[in-house]
Parts: sequence; C-alpha cells; structure tokens
Amino acid sequence: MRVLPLLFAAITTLACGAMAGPLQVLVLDKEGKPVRDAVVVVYPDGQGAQPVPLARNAIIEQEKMRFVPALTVVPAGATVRFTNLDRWDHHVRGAPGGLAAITEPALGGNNFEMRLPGKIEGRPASYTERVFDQPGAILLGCHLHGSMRGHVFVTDSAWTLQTGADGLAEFPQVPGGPARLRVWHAEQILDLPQQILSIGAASLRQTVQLSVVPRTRRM
Amino acid sequence: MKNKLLNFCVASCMAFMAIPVLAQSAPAPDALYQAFGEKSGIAALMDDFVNRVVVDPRIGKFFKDTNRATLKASLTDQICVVTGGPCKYEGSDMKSAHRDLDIRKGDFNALVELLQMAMEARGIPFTQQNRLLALLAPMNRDVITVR
Repeated sequence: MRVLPLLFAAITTLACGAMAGPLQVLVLDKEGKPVRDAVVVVYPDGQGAQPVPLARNAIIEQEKMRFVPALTVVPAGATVRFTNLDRWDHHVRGAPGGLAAITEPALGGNNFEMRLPGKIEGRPASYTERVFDQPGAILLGCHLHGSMRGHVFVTDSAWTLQTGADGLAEFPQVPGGPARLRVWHAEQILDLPQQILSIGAASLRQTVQLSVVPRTRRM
Repeated sequence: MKNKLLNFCVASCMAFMAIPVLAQSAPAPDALYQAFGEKSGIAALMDDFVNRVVVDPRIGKFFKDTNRATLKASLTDQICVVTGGPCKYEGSDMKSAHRDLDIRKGDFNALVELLQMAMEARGIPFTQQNRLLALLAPMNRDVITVR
C-alpha cells in the first residue's frame, strides 16, 4: 500500500518529464549585500507548471523629478502608461539600456521620445501610452532633466520576477528539468553569464552575485 | 579708532545674526531685482552663467544630459523670484532636483564661483552680488547630497 504514492509519483514523472519545483534566487552585490530591483529571468526547457502571470499593463509616473517606480517589468506586448504629476513638462526618452545600444542596434523599436505637459492644479495629469513589443531593457531618461533615470524591462519569458529589498525572487513552481537562469540589473552593464539549473521537486536556492555595487536612490 | 572697531563689531554681529533669518527665506532687499536689470538682465546673466557651468571641468558633468534652454529659463524664473521680481517659479524644489546627483561641497562652491564671475562680467556691483549670494546660500543644505 505504501508503494502506491511512490508509484503514482513515478508515473507522473514519466508522463510529464521531471517534477516541477519551487525556485528561489538570491541576488547579491559585489560586497555580498542583497540587491533590490534586479530582474530574474528563467527559461525552462520543460513544460507543465503555470507561471505567476505578469501584469499586462503598468503605470510609470514622473513625480518630483523621478520615474516612479524606477524599474518596471512587463511581458512583451504590454502597454505602459506614462503619467506626469509634476507641474512642469517632462520628456520621456527611451533607448536600449546598457551595451544593447551598441551591440544590438536592431532593437530600434525600443527607441522613442515623447513630451508630457506639466500638471495643472485641479486638472487630471497628462499621460501617454506605449506598447512594448520588443524584449529588452530600456533606459528611460528626460531631455529636460538629465538626472532622471528609470528602466523598463520587457521580458520574453513568463518566468520573470523582480527582486525585493531582501534580494530575493521566489518562483512557487518552475517546470522540472534543465532551465536557463538570467539575472539583469541596470548597473550591471556587462551581462552576467547565464547559468543552467536543474529543476526538480526539491526546493532549489540559487545565489547570483553581481560584479558591481549598485547605488541606492536617496529618499 | 575705538568707535570704528565697535562699529565693525556691531556690523559683523548683525551679519552673523542675519544668517539664520535669511535661511528662512527672508524677503529680498529693496531694488535687488532692479539692480540685476529685471527679468531681461537676469535672463542674460543666466545665459552666460549656464554657458560657463556646462563647460566647467569640475561641475560640467552634472549638466551633460540637461536641456540648456530649459535650465536657463527655469533659473531665470527662480532668480527673478528670489530677487523679489514679479515671476513665478514652476520648477522643482532644490531637494528633489538634486537628490539623484552626487554633489559635494566643492561642487556647490564651484558653482558659486562661476555665478560670481558671470555677475562680475555683467558689471553687477559687489554689494548686490553679495545680497543675491546670501539669499542663495541656504540652498546648500538641499543641494549638497554627499557630506
């Protein structure tokens, strides 16, 4: 009788390939401190488990000379709304982030520019929407205010998460078998080599260390 | 002689006492706006000043991605308001505008130096120069981000 659950597990394994399992990725900086706002992308070979769906739409506000949030992760095809809450005009200029501008000039679809009028007291803030079709990291800037920086990460994998203040990205279920792991951070200009993981039923914890110490935003 | 020394003491004490008052954005001294040539004079001053700032080897880097025309217009409004002129400054507060930049005391001082040179070039009297600088000086608390 005790053999039955094991047998059942074995059959399921044979039927669906390796067992899906949870995956936890911890991102550290060069000094070993947890890094927030890193993007963890997993490309599993297998199928089966359902990913936690990514939001199809996002809002990025321009408030007090900043893009809020500083990082927005969306799936390809998502619509992002840019809303200007400041009293003065802002540009939103998008360009491929990091070295992509040089190495992948074909990502021309991620170059864009728009100007949003400043908010007038008592009236709704002005906004523009944009659809992001091409995967990649996009650096946001403002022509008028050079200190403004933000990023949109358009992912090509449903298994994508952003790390929290604890540096952790936790996937409840990833399809079993081999999977590629990519970690991206705005200040990690040279992409880290991707790792190959082996996902099984047991919970897997992987640590990835950046080669930089990202600066933190002042409050 | 004694009298002169006393006068000097009184004057410098008053100057020191004046600092905390100015820090709470005291009104500009009368006619400061006029002394700077009103809005057109301030615009010309800011034009020359920003041109000096963006090429300065010490602090030019902070402005490499900044739109010059917008910066000049925004500074003109701000200085106009500070000197008591009839303008409206719609730009950012100094803290928000600078918090994402690494600005040290030396950078702030470099900017003050360039402003003094620009004022000198426009022949603004020394006393008026100092009045403006005294009104701007308290901003160092919000502008300097690295202490």
